[in-house]
Amino acid sequence: MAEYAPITDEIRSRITRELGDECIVSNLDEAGTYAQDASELRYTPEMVIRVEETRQIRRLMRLANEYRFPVTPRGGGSGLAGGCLPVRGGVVLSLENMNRILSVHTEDLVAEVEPGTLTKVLRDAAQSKGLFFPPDPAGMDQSTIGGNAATNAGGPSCIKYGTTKDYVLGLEVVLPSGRLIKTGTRTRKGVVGYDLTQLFVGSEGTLGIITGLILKLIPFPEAVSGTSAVFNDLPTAMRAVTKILTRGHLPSAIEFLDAKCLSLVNDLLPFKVPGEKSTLLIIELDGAPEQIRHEIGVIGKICEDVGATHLLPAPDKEERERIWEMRRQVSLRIHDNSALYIPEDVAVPLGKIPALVAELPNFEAEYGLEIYAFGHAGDGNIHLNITAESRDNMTRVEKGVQAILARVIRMGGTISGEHGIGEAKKQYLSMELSAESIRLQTEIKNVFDPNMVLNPGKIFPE
Amino acid sequence: MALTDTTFRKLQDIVGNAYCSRKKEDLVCYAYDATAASYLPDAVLFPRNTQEISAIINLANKDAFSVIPRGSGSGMTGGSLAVRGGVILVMSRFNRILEIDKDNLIAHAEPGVVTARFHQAVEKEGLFYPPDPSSSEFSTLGGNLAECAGGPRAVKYGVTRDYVLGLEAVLPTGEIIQAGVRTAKGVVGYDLTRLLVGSEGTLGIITRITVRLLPLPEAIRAMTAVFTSLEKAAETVSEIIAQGIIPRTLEFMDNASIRCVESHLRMALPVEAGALLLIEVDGKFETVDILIKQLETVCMSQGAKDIKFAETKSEIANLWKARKAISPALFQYGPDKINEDIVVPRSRIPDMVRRIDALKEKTGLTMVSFGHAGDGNIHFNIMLDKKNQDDLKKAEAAIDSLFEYTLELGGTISGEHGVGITKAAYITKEIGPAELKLMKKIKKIFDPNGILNPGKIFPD
Ligand SMILES: Cc1cc2nc3c(=O)[nH]c(=O)nc-3n(C[C@H](O)[C@H](O)[C@H](O)COP(=O)(O)OP(=O)(O)OC[C@H]3O[C@@H](n4cnc5c(N)ncnc54)[C@H](O)[C@@H]3O)c2cc1C
Ligand SMILES: Cc1cc2nc3c(=O)[nH]c(=O)nc-3n(C[C@H](O)[C@H](O)[C@H](O)COP(=O)(O)OP(=O)(O)OC[C@H]3O[C@@H](n4cnc5c(N)ncnc54)[C@H](O)[C@@H]3O)c2cc1C
Repeated sequence: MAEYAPITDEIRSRITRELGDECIVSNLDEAGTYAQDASELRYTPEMVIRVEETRQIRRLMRLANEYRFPVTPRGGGSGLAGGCLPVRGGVVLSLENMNRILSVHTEDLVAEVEPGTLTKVLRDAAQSKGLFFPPDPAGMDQSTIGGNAATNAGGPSCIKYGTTKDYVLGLEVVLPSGRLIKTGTRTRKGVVGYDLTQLFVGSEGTLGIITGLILKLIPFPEAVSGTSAVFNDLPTAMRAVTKILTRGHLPSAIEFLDAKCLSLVNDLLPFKVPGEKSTLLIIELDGAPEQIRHEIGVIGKICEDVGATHLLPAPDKEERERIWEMRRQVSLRIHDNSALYIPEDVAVPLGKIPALVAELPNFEAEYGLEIYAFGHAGDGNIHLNITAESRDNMTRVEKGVQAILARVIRMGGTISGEHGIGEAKKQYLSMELSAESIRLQTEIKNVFDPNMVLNPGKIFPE
Repeated sequence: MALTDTTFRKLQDIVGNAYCSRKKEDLVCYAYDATAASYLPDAVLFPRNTQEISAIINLANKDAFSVIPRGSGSGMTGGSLAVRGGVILVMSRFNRILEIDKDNLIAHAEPGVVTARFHQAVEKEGLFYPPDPSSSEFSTLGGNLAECAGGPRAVKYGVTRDYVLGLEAVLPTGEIIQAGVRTAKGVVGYDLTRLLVGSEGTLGIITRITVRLLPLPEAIRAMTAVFTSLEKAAETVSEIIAQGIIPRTLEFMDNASIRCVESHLRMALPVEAGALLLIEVDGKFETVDILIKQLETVCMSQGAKDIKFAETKSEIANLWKARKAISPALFQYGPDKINEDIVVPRSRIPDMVRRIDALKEKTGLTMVSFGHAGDGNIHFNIMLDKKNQDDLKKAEAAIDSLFEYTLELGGTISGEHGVGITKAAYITKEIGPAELKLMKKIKKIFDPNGILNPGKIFPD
């Protein structure tokens, strides 16, 4: 394990002198918010810096190498894996003020943005020009594009449009050494040299600090329509999902909520939950208005044929928003109702979703857990919201989590579909990746960051 | 370094005598790709499984010879050539489609599967694998991954990278790794999958591939439209996109390509035209007809003439005939071809066209451009006789200028063919020293002894 220098007065004054004192966050209350993200973890930084310019970052990294203190990049702090927390101390580098949208080019369908741009702000700016930035992580009003790229964030639209990765064409990055590099292209295609862009995307702020992004946009879909369908159980709902997809439909979202989730929001549902295993599917389509009007009918019919007990068509925006609000409430209420909350984010092959969810009660009984499952039925990404009534028996809870993840891997799945490894899941990394793969990855890290000053302690267990 | 008899015998032991040769007549067959270059390897091997490849690699590290993976040898940049001698690993026996998982919309295949065969197999199941390099009748999936191949449909569907979920590879150290996932999503650790995709066989030998599939679009419609100038055609392309239509393909041919195909095939093409656009749309039955009408209106408003439509498979194939004939037809203009694969931002296509015209005028050489207008990817060809030193010099200078313009306009010098050997000398024009250094260090981690496909991508 690398040794780090504490942030001494000398270091503090060098940083202040070279970066300017406006960027130092000295208000302690405010600095406190930088000790947490959306996970349950908490690590207090020794110093918080909110930069305005790439130049400041380059200087900071040179100092970090000179004195050997850790620097942890932070976007909106909405991460669920503790990725932006200073687990080895040092400086938290907030990029939230580098938030300009530099251009939205309607002919090339490209946007150039600074990393601190909020996801929602970019989506709105694109839309105002008739363009679409599809990645739609549910935390989009707090998360930044830089954070999205660093975690390769996804959302409900992934099934049709893919994840953040698929929209990053090029990057400007400050390497841990302080050197500035540019990767990728402004064009949709380009195969010159190794794909460093895609290596940075998803690297959780451990290989470089993203200071600029060239993003791919597409035309904004003309219209959206939706429908929700209630089924007696999850296997039936998943049969509908498979049938929809194999009949050639490609919805822009297919989300599911299990019976436990539904029971939390009974007051918000326009129907009575019919049974103990009821499952709700939320389906959306986008495209040309004439086409989707017809197509949503066909999809509704498929749901009914397979056994849906209710259909809740949502052709209008207000109806769709009501449904999404209900889904948001599920997250919030799970969080509020439980003493201990561990958000797992596994993905399994679509066909395995019912089997996995069917096994959850066994895990609940054996390890004293309460598990709420919802997620992206269209791409197999299930948010297993694992809760417990108290924090007393953490070892048992952790054993339970581990048992579930092991099961997921045996099903051909992955332990993280979109949230990343960060600090929260690094102890499980070797369950999924082989020793060779981990060795290769740590060697890559070593090439980029020989002094281990950038976001140390993340992804790879030490 | 030449392969010793002892080493060759060890290789025979690994793959079996029947799948191992160093007879001249066999070596010659694997000395070429789609460039004009040729390098005789020391041996060709036809391994059958991952363990054999791993054993070959271990031996290569011990006995110090290079190993070059090869799909079908349709590469345009010399990637599969044994520039430093060594052993060619022909992946043709890795030719099984392992599973088409209809419910999960994914497929598992071996890298030697020919792209078109894979297309047919998934389409039979009502599914769709979009990447469609024009060479798909003979290129392999492994070669497609290694080059990150594109194709006409990239404008709507993206390139090979966008469909690869995971892979198995033998590293140059002999280790076998599984990268990526068998699910639609996954963010565990660094993205080794996308690092290997497009690495041109220099970081690992891909032995197994998992790709995601889409539902097969219900209907396809196609049209061609003729324009007085290439600039008009380019403006039309911008207008189509501005209207929010992303066609399935959006190809162009310039006047020289039209003339070239016409004199070759005599199919009554409009030889006076400045350019021809070939456009396809796909989707639901209800939408494709609406879209094609919209496209017709856009084209007409830009002064297009001679608009033709196609609905059935054979009608569509007919419209494509001219576009597909260009490559072979080119050689009537000269025995040698220098072909480039530049990309510029779509809005800069008219600029690029003007600059190419100026180059043509200045050099007097035969230059033919065609390609994927929808994503700004221009296949630019100079036809000449390389024995004519004067022309060769002019051509080389023209390529230098072409690359300069491309980069000036915010483009890239290779959209889909890769760097290989033919573009290695130019890579530093696009990639800066810090970036190049990182790439070389990555290569070094994967391949400390430099045994896998040496002499590619990086200039010496
Ligand atoms: C209510 C809620 C809903 C959510 N829903 C989703 C969802 O649907 N899908 C999903 O994928 N995630 C979701 N998340 C998780 C989170 O929003 C995403 O991981 C998001 O991408 C994090 O962005 P951020 O700007 O908040 O990054 P942070 O949390 O600040 O940082 C995340 C990681 O990125 C690194 N990082 C940040 N900026 C940079 C930069 N400029 N350069 C280099 N590294 C950087 C950090 O070091 C850290 O490792 C949700 C979170 C919440 C709270
Ligand atoms: C007429 C014609 C049209 C073409 N059109 C297009 C087009 O539209 N779009 C496009 O992108 N390309 C096109 N190409 C170029 C070429 O077909 C592609 O680059 C294709 O992907 C090469 O596949 P291959 O199997 O022939 O590979 P090869 O030429 O055999 O090898 C190419 C590279 O891949 C490596 N490689 C092969 N297999 C493996 C493996 N299993 N593991 C690791 N590395 C491997 C080789 O070492 C080499 O570096 C065209 C070529 C021709 C001749």
